[in-house]
Amino acid sequence: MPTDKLTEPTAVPEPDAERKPASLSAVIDLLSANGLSDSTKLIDCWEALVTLVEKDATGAPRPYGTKRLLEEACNQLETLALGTSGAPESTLKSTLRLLQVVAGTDQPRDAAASTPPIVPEPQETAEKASRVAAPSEEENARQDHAETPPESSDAPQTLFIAADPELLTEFVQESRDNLDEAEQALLSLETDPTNKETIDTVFRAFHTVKGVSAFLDLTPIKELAHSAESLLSRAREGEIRCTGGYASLALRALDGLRALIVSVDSRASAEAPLEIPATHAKLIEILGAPERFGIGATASESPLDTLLPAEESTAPQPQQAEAKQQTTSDSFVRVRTNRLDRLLDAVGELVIAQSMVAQDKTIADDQQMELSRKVAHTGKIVRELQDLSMSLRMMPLKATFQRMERVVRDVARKGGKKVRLTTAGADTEIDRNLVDLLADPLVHMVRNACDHGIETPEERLRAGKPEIGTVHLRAYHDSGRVVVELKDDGRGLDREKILKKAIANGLVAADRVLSDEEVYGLIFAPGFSTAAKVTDVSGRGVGMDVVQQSMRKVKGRVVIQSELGRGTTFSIHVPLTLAITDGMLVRVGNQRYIIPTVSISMSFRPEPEALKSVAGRGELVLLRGHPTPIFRLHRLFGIAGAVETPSDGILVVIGEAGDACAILVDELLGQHQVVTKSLGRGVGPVTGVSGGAILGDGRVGLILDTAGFIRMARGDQEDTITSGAAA
Amino acid sequence: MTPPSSAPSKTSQDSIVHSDLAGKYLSFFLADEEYGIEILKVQEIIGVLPITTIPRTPPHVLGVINLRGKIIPVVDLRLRFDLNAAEITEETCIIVVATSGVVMGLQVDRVSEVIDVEPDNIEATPNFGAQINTDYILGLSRCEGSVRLLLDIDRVLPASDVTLANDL
Repeated sequence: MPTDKLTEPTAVPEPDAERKPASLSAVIDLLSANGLSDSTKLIDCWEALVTLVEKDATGAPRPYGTKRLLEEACNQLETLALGTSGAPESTLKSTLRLLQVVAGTDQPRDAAASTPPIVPEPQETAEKASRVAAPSEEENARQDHAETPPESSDAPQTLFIAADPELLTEFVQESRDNLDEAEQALLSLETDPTNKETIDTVFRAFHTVKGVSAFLDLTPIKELAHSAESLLSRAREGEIRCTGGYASLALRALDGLRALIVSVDSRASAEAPLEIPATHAKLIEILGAPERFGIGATASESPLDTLLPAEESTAPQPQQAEAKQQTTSDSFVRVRTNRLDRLLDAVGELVIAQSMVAQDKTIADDQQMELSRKVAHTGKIVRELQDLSMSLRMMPLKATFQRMERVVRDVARKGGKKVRLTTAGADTEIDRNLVDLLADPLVHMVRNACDHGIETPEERLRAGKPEIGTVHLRAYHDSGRVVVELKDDGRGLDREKILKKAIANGLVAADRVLSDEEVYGLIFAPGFSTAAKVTDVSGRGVGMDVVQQSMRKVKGRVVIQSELGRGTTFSIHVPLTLAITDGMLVRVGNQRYIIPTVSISMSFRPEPEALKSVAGRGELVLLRGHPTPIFRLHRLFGIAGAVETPSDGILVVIGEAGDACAILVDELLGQHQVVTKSLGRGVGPVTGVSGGAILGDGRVGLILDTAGFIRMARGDQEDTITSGAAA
Repeated sequence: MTPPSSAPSKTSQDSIVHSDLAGKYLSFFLADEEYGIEILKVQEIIGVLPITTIPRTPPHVLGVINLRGKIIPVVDLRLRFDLNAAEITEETCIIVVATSGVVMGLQVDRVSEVIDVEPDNIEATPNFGAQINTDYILGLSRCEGSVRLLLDIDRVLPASDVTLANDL
C-alpha cells in the first residue's frame, strides 16, 4: 500500500478510478455479510465517487477542506466494512452526504458539520478524490494527514488582528463558554468514552471556535481548532477512543486555544499583535498524527509533557469564564456592581423605614386594625424583596467544583494515581466575590489531597483499600455560613511526624502538649510545608499557608480532621458573603460596637477573684489558668459613662489561644448579621475600626477590627508603661 | 480691621479670579457669621440625624451618619473654625456636600438662602496676618450691607483631614 499517494498531487487518477468500483463492491460484499441490506445508499456512494473522479479529471482546483471530508468519508466506510459502526444505516447516510458534499452535489449540512463556514463552495471538487475513495487506501488518508498538517508549520509568531473589537469581544466570550463546555465533556468522556452526545459537544465547541476565528481571520486559532477538531472527528467516527493520551492531547489543544483566546482578550490595545506560543505549531503537528508521537488511548502518562513543555500560564482558567459558565443554561443580565450595591443599600433602608412605620405608635397600638394589616402586608413584601436582593450576588459553587475535576485528573495522572472526584452540593450558593477567592485555596487543597493524601494504587491495595482513591468535595450551609468539605480516603495526617518536624523546626516547644487540632494546624505554618514535603511526612502542607492566607481574607477558617491510614477531611467554613459580617453587638457607655463573631472565642462576666493587676497597671484575668490581659474598650476609644469594674461588665475574649486578650464591654446586645460598609471616603482608615454597619434602628454601628484593636491596645499600654517608668 | 493698603496692587489679577467666583451660593450661619458655599457642591440639606462617634478622631469630626444606606462622615464646622460648640436646635442642619468624590456632612447652625453673587460684589480675602488662616476662604461677598465669607470647601475638608488627624 503506497503511503505517499495523496501527498503526490501529480499521481494519475485513472488507475484508481478503475480500481475503485472493485474495491467498493468488496465493501458492499463485506457490509451485506455484516447484515447490512441497504445497498442503494452504497450505490449512491459509488456514484458520488465516480462524479468525483470525473470532476477530478477536469483538473479543477481542490478547495480547502475537501481532503478532510474525504478522509472522514473513508473512515466511515472503514468502520462500516469492519462492522464496528454502532449504527451502520446512519453512518452510511452520513458517508454519502460527505461524498456528495465533496462532489458538489449537496450542500454541507449535518454530517458535513466539519466543513468550516469559510470554506469556499465545495463545488469544483477534489483532484485527489478518486484516490482516497478506495477503502483500501484509508490508511493513506490518515498518513497523509499526518504528513501535511494544515498549513501550520510556518505559522507566524505574532499576528496583527484587524477584526472589529466588538466582534472580537463577543468571540472571546463565546469561545470561553464553548471551551469550558468542551472541557467538561472531555473529562466525562474519559469515563464514558463512547458517549456520542458528549463527543459531539466537544466537536461542536472546537468547530464553532474554528468557524468564528476563521471569519475573524485569527489564523492560528483557526488552525489549532481545526486540528483539534480532526482529532475529535476520529473519535466521533469511533476510530479512536478519547481516553488516555488522546484525552490529554485534546485537553492540551483546549488549553492552547484558551490561552490564545485569552491573549486576544488581554492585548494591551486593539493594535497590539497577538502572541503565538512557541509550542503552537508543534501542538498542531501532534494533533494531526498523535500515533507518530507515541500517543494513544492507553498510555496513562503520555509523552505530551516532553513534547510540549508545559506552559503554566495556560492552566488557570479565566475566572470570568467560570463565572459565566454556570449561566449558560439560563439567560442572564449583566449589572454593574455599584448599581447592585445601591440597590442593596436602598432595600436595606426600605427595611429599616418599614420597621419604623410598623413600630409607630399608631400602628403598634392596634387601634387601626385596617392600617396595621396593610403595614404588615407591606412588611412581608419588603422582607421578600430583601431576600431577593441578597440573592442577586449569589452564585452556585458548581463552576468551582467543575474546575477541581480537572485538577484531580491532572495531578492524579502526573503522580500515577487513580483518583475519583465526587461532589455534592454544587448548587450551594455563595457570594460571587467569595467564589473567586475560594477557588485558589481549594485548588491547593485538592492538589494536596491527590498528590499527598491519596496513595499509589499499589500502596492502596496493600493497605486493603480500593485501588481508586476517592476525593469527595461537598458544600453545604451551616448556620449562616457555607462549609466546603474536602474529604479523601488517603493515608491521613501523621500526628507524630508532624509534631516531630515542628519541634525540630522550633515551631513548638518539645514539652508542650498539643491537641490534635493544634498539631494539624501546624501544617499551615509558612515554611513548614516544604520541610514536611522533603522528608515526606504525611506529605501534606504544600501551599497550605497560602490556604490559610486566603482564609484570613475571606474571614473563614479551616478545620482539619484526620485519621491515620483512613484519610483526612478539611472543612472550609466561610461566611455566605463578604458584605455581611456576623457580629456580636455590644454596648459601651452610650455607644454600640460590633465585634465580628469569627474572632470571638468566648465571653463571660469575670469573678472578682479571677482579676489580677500587674504593677498596678495592666489588668489580667485568669482564663482557664492562663493570665489574659484585659483591654477596656471605653478607655481606648474615650467613651464616657461606661462600666469601669470588669466584674460589672462582660469580657469578650478575642484572639488565638496563647495570644488571647479580653475586651471589657458593658453588655452584649445580641448577635446580628450586618452589612459591612466603609466609613466613606472622607474618613481614612481608623485604627481599631474596620468599617461601619447600619443597625436595625437606622443608626450606624462601628465594626471593631480586632487585630488592629489589639495592636493599638498593646501600643498604648507600652506607651503608658514606658512613660510611667520614665516618670 | 481690613488693611486696605495691600489691595490695589493685587486688583488686576484678582478681578479675573473673582469673576470666576461669581455664581450661586448657599449661605448659612455659624454663630453670627454668614458663610457661602458653592451650590453645585451641595448635594442636599438634611436635619440632624443620630451621629455615631468615631473613636480617636479630632473633635470637629462628629462621627458618621446613615444617609439612606450610605455611611458619611459629619464635620462640625463651628469646631472646625475654632468656634464654641453650639446646642443643637430646630434650625441646626447638616449640609451634605460632594467634593471630588467625597461625600461629607457639614453641621451648621442655620441655613439661610441661596444667593446670587455678582462678580462686582466679590472682594479678595483680606490679609489677617498669621493668626487667622484664610486658605479656605475664596473671597468675600458684599451684599446689602452684609459680608459673607465664601468657603473653598475642598480646603475646609481636605479628604486627608480626618485621616491625618487620625494618624496623629
